[in-house]
Amino acid sequence: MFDNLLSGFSAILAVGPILGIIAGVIIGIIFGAIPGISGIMAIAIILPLTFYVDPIIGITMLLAVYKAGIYGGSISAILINTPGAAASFLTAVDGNALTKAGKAGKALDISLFSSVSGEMLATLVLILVAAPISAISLQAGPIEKVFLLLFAFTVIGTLAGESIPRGLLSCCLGMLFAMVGMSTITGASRFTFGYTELMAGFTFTPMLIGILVMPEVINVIRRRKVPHHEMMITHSPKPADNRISFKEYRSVFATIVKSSGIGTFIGALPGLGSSTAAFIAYGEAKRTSKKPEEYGKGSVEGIAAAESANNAVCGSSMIPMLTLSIPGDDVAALLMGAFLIHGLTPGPLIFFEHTETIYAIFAGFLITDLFLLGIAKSGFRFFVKVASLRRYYIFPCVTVFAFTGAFTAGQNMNDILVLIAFTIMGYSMRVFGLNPAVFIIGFILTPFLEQNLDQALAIVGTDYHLFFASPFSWVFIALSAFFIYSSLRMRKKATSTPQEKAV
Amino acid sequence: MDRRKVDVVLTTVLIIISLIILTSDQLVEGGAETDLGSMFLPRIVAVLMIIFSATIGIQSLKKLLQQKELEDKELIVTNGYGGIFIYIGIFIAYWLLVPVFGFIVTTPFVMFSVALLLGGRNWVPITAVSVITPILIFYGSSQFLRVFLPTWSL
Amino acid sequence: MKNTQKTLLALAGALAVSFSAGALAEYPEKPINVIVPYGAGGDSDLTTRIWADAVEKELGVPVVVINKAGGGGVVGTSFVANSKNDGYTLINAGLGNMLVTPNFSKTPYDFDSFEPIVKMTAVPLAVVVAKDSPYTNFDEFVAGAKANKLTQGSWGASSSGTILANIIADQAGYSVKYVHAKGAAASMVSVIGGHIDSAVSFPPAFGPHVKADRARALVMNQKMDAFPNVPTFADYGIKGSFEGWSGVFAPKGVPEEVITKLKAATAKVMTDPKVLKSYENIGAVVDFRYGPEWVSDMKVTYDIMKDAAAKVKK
Repeated sequence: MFDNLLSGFSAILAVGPILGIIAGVIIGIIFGAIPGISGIMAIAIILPLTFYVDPIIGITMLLAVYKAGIYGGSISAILINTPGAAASFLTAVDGNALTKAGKAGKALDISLFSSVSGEMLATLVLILVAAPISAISLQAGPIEKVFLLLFAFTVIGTLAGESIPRGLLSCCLGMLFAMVGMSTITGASRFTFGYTELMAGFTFTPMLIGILVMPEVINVIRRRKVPHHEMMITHSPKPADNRISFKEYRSVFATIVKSSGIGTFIGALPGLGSSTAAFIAYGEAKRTSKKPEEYGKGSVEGIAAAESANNAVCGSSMIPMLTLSIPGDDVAALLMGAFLIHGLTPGPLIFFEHTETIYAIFAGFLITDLFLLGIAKSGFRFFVKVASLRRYYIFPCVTVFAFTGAFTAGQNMNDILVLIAFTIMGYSMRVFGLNPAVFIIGFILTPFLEQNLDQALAIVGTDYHLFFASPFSWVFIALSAFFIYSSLRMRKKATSTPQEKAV
Repeated sequence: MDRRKVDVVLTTVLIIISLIILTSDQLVEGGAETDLGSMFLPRIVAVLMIIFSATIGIQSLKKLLQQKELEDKELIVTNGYGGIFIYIGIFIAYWLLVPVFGFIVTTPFVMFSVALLLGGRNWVPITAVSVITPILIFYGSSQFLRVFLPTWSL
Repeated sequence: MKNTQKTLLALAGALAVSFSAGALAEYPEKPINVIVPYGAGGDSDLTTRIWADAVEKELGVPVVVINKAGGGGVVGTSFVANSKNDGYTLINAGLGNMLVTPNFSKTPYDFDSFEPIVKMTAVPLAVVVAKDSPYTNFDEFVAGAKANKLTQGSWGASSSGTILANIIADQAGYSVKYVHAKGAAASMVSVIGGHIDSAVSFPPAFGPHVKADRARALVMNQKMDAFPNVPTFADYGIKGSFEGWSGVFAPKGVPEEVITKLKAATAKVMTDPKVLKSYENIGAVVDFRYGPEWVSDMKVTYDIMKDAAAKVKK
């Protein structure tokens, strides 16, 4: 295997692949960092271009766009508090708090280091133990997935911020909105009130922009009378506040490893996605942290947990795709298309039939991480400068990007209306203390829950005991119970300390 | 503004909506039969919503009745809301005008008004940014994204 | 109001055609949009992207693939049905959105709302079981399904997969319990994982698993070079055409010029070995068709679906 990997490195270290990776990383960071425009859009567009180049170049380039795009979202989240995905919502909360305290450099550093670490670890898992992991993930059928999802909902509900009922209510609202439109299972149209436009439900991208990005624009508008220097990104004079020292990195390294593990596991199970991984890892890190009260107020550890889990999903979503030809999410589906068009049929045989190509691609994955580290790091100064511009330059642009992003998703003007409606709703949710990211996760996971629940019922029939026949089910039931117990205890501790009296 | 009052109103509305979901059969149309059925999950969610809304609503109502002091996060600061309404207005106008005048023509006006709203008074750079950005986006998205933004259609 | 507008447009179009074919000879003069009513990365999407990429060079203008997913294809398809019929908005048509869904769900369009242009590929339906399944051929499977309640993976109670599977089951005289996954690929996961007994599926979804010897195709719609030992439905006396397909349609009333041009361009690229190789790679069978015979074949299938729908809905 190591011979293969070495020859892979020699194949990838040529002008073509390296240029492809550099271009991919730059495109990905830019697309990811612009609020309202996402990396997956770039991948769909670049896909046909890669028909004509060598698969080593084409596929590593697409993957570079994917990885850099997921990371890029955290830049705008940290600097101007506009998370481009539910996964970077957590990064925005802690990262922007650090930025406001003059520690933007620290936040950017830790998010980059933990992103790259998470990706590296997941890629190593992919290279070394892909096959056994995918065998485990095959064991998770519809019944097991129902329990896994219930566990995910439990974790998300318990760390939903201000109060548990408010968090759970946000989640329920997200679930309700997800059920608008035509059900893919029964073909029935629900809550459409006779409008064909609603048959597809709410378009995800404009809704995401409205709920997560736009409230910050509104917030800036509301505070438009506050003088510029009070809202500007400050730069702490202490150099230690603007970087992550090796010691700090080492102190969160355990969190990064654990979160990457969570991310890798979630990524290997098709369908759950990076937001779920980020939330579960964040919740777990907070639960076991020595300083849980810092979470949400600028915790370096929190950023590390969310970002490493989020990015680990990138690498590990390749596991089911490559070993079982099952794409884990829509990006993996696009990448699988790229593999197929190049005549590389994903599956266990790919490792024997196309050994050279596949190991060159693996080597490319690892090299992409290094390039991402280098390119993103050298761009920080520029990003901070852009974000320090006066707000009447930044936010008109964000407005236009939001408009463009919402339009490009389906090239449909109705989506702009969706954007406006959810902008109002997203801001209102913030005002009323509901959690927008939990809303989004509820929205993402619901179709998945409904599909698996329906399948589980069809499989079980009338033998309800089958629901509890698999050890997987018991593991997740036990985990959920443990999580509820431990977070209740944590809340009790928090209420007994004087400064956190409100629950 | 007192968030507790908002809570009471909002949760009542949500409870009413949930009750409608639980009882009405008009909300679903067509489709085939499966084990789960089309309304199973919506109704479960409706029940959960009633529970959580009631928890929040009753807590806030209690605090209101006991006339407890307002906590920090229960206070909604309402100054500056005028700007929000203007901004939403601009966005709605943007939505209405783009199909007619096209992206390149409408966007500079929108960017300019948002900049104005945010207190920008450096006319020259603001105008420059408002004109250049849409042109870049328009050509960028048609060349690289292959997304063709609406053009003039009069 | 809208209707008058449409009539006027149609009149104007008719006039333009009859007076001067030259005026429209310039088609295409701006980018053509092809709507794929499903998500990016699926077989419909890939088939259309390969086509778009190839005909683009023939036509000389960008052919842009846009994914408008949702509502089982209804949203994208109705969008095109309501678009201008100037040939600049086309739809990726298939069994699901053209022949099945209009019969099962309330759709604002019908098969007749479109002008079929070309069919590019077909994907034969197959019944698939896991490698360690006790059923080694279709006869054994039928016997098993008659004796026990078996589960079969499909993708939605009113989806093309379930409808076709039902027609097959009716003819062979068995019944199964359907388990609806997100798509053919997702239900293959449940088959290999041993969670369900069988699935109906298309080669792009089951091909890799059969090649890797994790699954077995018992019977399929037609012989394919990639699976030489799999018998066809006809071998078991089951009549009908059980295939998914991908084509390109335009809204009704599109100028003749557009149809001719697109047909000619497609005919040309369908001989390009590179395009053929791409289709083979994604597991589709090239089945380039156009013309009245093709349309009447589709109408026959449409009526079969209509009967099936009436049965399911009761």
